[in-house]
Amino acid sequence: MQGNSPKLEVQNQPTFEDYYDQERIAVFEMFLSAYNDAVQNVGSVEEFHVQIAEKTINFQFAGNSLISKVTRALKHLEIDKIDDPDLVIKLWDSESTQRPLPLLINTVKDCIPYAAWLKKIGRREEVYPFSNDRFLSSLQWGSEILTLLDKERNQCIYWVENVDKIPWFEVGAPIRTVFHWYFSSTKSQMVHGGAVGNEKGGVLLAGEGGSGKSTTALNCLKDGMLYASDDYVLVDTKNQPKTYSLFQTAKVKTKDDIERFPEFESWVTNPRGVEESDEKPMLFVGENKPKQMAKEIPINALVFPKFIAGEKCHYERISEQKAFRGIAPSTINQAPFAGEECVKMLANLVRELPAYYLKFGEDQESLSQTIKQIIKENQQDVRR
Amino acid sequence: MKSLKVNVPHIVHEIFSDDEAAIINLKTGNYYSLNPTGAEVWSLIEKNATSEEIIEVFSECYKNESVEDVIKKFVTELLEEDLIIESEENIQKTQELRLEKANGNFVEPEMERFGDMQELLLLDPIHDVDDAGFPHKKTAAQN
Repeated sequence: MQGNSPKLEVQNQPTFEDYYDQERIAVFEMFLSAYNDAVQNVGSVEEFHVQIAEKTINFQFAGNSLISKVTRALKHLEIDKIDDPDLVIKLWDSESTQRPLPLLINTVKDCIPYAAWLKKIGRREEVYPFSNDRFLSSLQWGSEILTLLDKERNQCIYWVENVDKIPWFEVGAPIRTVFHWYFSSTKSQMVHGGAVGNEKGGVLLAGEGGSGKSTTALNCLKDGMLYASDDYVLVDTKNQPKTYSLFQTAKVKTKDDIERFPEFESWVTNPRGVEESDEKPMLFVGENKPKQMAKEIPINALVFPKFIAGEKCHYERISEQKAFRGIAPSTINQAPFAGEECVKMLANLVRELPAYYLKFGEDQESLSQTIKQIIKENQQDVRR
Repeated sequence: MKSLKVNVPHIVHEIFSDDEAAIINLKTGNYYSLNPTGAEVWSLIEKNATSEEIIEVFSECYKNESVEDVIKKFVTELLEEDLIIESEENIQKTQELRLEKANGNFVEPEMERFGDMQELLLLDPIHDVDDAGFPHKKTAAQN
């Protein structure tokens, strides 16, 4: 630990929680100090800047080993260097920088399997001992990516043992937990859903994984429509509902699915992973169709694609409750610490926008036309 | 008489314009939907009504013999699912207890539980999670 913890400033006899809150500051400082050691060891900080929903984010990498894994999906959001970013994310790995995790944090990390049983880590990867109103912490299963956010200083630290532990899907949707935490405090919400649109507006494509979001989004991309995402978007309901793109990726379930889009087959970035392990074919839309890659798309309606074998493509209006059930569980499920505020925001979204089931079968020729029809029909809603 | 309370902070809920309610138990991962009568009962519980007060309010609006038994059973179901709890005492009401949309026909309250969110939230992080990161349910071939 670097120095002594600041003296506790409480009116009465401090409680255990007062002491723990104080020590969480020390944990963050300890983590920050290790990052600084990592920077010193490699001798450089590599910077990358993005803008999302009018907020600027500065990535500071200790060395260059992590850069391509983290920035590729965010390239379409890159901006020139800014001096006063809204959020700073400091990233490092132990292998290339030769700085291990601080002993105490590493011990907690190693105990995580047992900590889960002791309810010290949540089902949504929350690390409870390091978290309170000010700090949020999560540890991804498998990859063991550890993140800590200090909401007061808008500073985040991201750590992984070595670059090879970063899984393919993290490359496609990096830092998403931090985006969820940070943007929640700005009253926007990361939602499990995609977004496509045109000059008349757009739709949010929501629903469980495998329901048909990517198939719908890629059909729209093929037809020349704007594309923001097929999996995660940031939704802002402060004024007119709007989605912001986070990741320029698209992924489909299997190799067979991408073969239905011959024009996109050569874009797949992980053909070996698809062949040899159970990776999903992933492509970077912005690298191949930069003009169709949208940073933001206003939304006129919520659409829940549903693949049903033999079904002719059509859409039907659904109730607020059904729409909520389609969007809330899968979003909350993937958002560590998401609670009442997230639920309220999603409930307001389904109250504000009309929602539809988009049912389709093997014949997907008319999918994009149907999406355009939904956008057109609900232009009125956008203007109100 | 013990007042009923929503089991916060684990329970989050919303009532929609079609008069149906959605409830999420963040602790267990269960998702519930209530029909309009169930949502009316839920609204009364939000106002800290007792079981007896809920029955009284419903009995004033519906002349149906089954009201008492049906409401009792429904409240018990909500308690068993840990969606609501009984407080130690009868909490002072700050809002009038009444039904917002009563009409002549009594429709029994119903609650539907959906387990898919629970299935994902309650995966065993040690045995059901692989290198794919966030708990993904393994396929049969992986098990």
